[in-house]
Amino acid sequence: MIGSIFYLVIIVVLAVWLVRQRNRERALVALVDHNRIERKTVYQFLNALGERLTTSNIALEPALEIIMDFIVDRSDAEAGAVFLLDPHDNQLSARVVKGMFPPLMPTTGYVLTKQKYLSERIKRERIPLGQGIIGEAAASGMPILVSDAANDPRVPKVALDYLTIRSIMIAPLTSRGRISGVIAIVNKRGGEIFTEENLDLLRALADQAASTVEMVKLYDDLAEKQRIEQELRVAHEFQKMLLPSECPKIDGYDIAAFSEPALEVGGDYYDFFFVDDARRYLGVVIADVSGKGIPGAFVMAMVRCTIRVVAHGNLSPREVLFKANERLYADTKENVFVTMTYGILDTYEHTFRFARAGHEPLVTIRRDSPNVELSSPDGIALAMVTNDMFSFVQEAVLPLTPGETAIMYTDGVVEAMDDQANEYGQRRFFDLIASSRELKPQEIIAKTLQDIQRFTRGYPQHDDITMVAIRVHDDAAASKSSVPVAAPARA
Amino acid sequence: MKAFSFTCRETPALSDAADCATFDLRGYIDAHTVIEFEKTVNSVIEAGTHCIILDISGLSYISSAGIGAMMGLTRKLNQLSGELILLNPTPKVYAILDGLGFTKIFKIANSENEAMEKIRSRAPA
Repeated sequence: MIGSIFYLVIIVVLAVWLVRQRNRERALVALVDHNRIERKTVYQFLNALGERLTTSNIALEPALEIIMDFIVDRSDAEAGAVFLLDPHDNQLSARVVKGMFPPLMPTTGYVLTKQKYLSERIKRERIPLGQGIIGEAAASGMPILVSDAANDPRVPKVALDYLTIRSIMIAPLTSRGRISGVIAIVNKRGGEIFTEENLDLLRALADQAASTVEMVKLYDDLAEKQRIEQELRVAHEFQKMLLPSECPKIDGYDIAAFSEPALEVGGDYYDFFFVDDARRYLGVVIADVSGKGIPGAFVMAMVRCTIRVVAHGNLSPREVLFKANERLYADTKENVFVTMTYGILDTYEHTFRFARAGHEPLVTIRRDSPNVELSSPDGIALAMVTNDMFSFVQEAVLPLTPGETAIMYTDGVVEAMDDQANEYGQRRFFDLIASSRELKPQEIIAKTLQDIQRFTRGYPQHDDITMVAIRVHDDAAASKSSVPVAAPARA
Repeated sequence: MKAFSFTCRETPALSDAADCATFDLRGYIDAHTVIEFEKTVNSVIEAGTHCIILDISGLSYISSAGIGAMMGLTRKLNQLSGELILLNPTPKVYAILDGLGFTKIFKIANSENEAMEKIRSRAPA
């Protein structure tokens, strides 16, 4: 009797164990199925992204469209939206909205019947991190499932039937530990409510979406960077094209020039041309155009062309600047200006007649002085004011005797900076020049560049560096001609 | 190098003269930082304030882009019979403006009182 009870107990225990095992097995199979479906869906998601997101259209909005199309469809949802976090102000805003997505922040009563208007309204909403159900999910990084929205205080109640939320799920977009936004899915089709399983799938897809968003953002940044680099390269090339390929070779003179565009490409340039057909008067230009990049390069081309046109046949630098200002003031935008020194070298008489449009002073190394001589006649930058105000520009005439050198430079030279924002400065520059009286123009420029390099220790410069130097040969005849310096032509 | 920043305040002492706003500029104004600044000042001008004082005592350096912006504002305000005053430039910034010949164009004041005088005595519309 005791033996049969014992066997009965054994059988019952075995039976219970068997049933439990089968249930466990079924649950396991269901879980495996669920995982398989989830994995399959994720693969399909990645395929969809791969097929529709090609390198030609890779951008954030199209990527989010693809992501939301897929997720709303696979979640069997009526509506969905992806909100991205703006790291600058910690606010979330909807970037892509699908279906009749209801407002998730408490709002005053408004009636929106068209999906387009509703979407625009949702996209305009800025949700502070931590506020509302969207802000909460983004702040905590935890997914949220609301199966019974009617009784959840976090879900705003809207009186309109088509905007009533029955159930909602939200998954954060987390990539490398950083939350970049959330995906919210609203109302399952056919009146059903979202389950934990639905949420699991949403989380898996949101994880993939987050990586995709991150990747597209990087790509966007890279494309923008490449675009800027490309623009700078073009501007660089353009700028180089505008510079003379070589310095003029004139009996009795050594002439050298140098221009190095900075990282951002400023608008420095220099130019040489003969003003007259007899090739006695050499026009010399050094200028700094205020614009940067391609726009700056175009203004520079315009300035160069204008000067060349108005300079021809005119022996008064002041008048040339005057005429150039009239055209440039009319043709440039109000925030563009050009500083320039324009001078005419009389290669017979060894004089440099020049005017200064707000440019750095002209530096001369005299034979009989240990210091440099600075000349800055009154002047104002080009393209800024009308000619009546520009008219106080003055002209100066600098006689150059054999062995003397005149140097022009742009502010990029004296404002070259080291990594501590210390400036190279006029004093160091002028001292260096003063100690270079025996050097040729080419050597003075090379020496200056070396000294700037030593000072900045290779720190990248923000402004172009440009120099022009003209030296009368030691053995040059004091004067080639007995003809007096030509009177300036009338405008 | 200090980053560029600016704040705007109404200047009520001038209410008898005109609607006036003062911008306090600090740091380094360059091609990048100037954009937001221009936008803000323009919106103030469009809202009807035609006398603008730029307190540039905190400006350590001004690039060509910054000067261009100030020139643009000067031209715009002149057309509106308004005024742009630069208040308290540092010697360094003054030297830059002077070298360019712009001290002849810009109205520069060394105190708020002087700025107000310049605004009160501006050419009538």
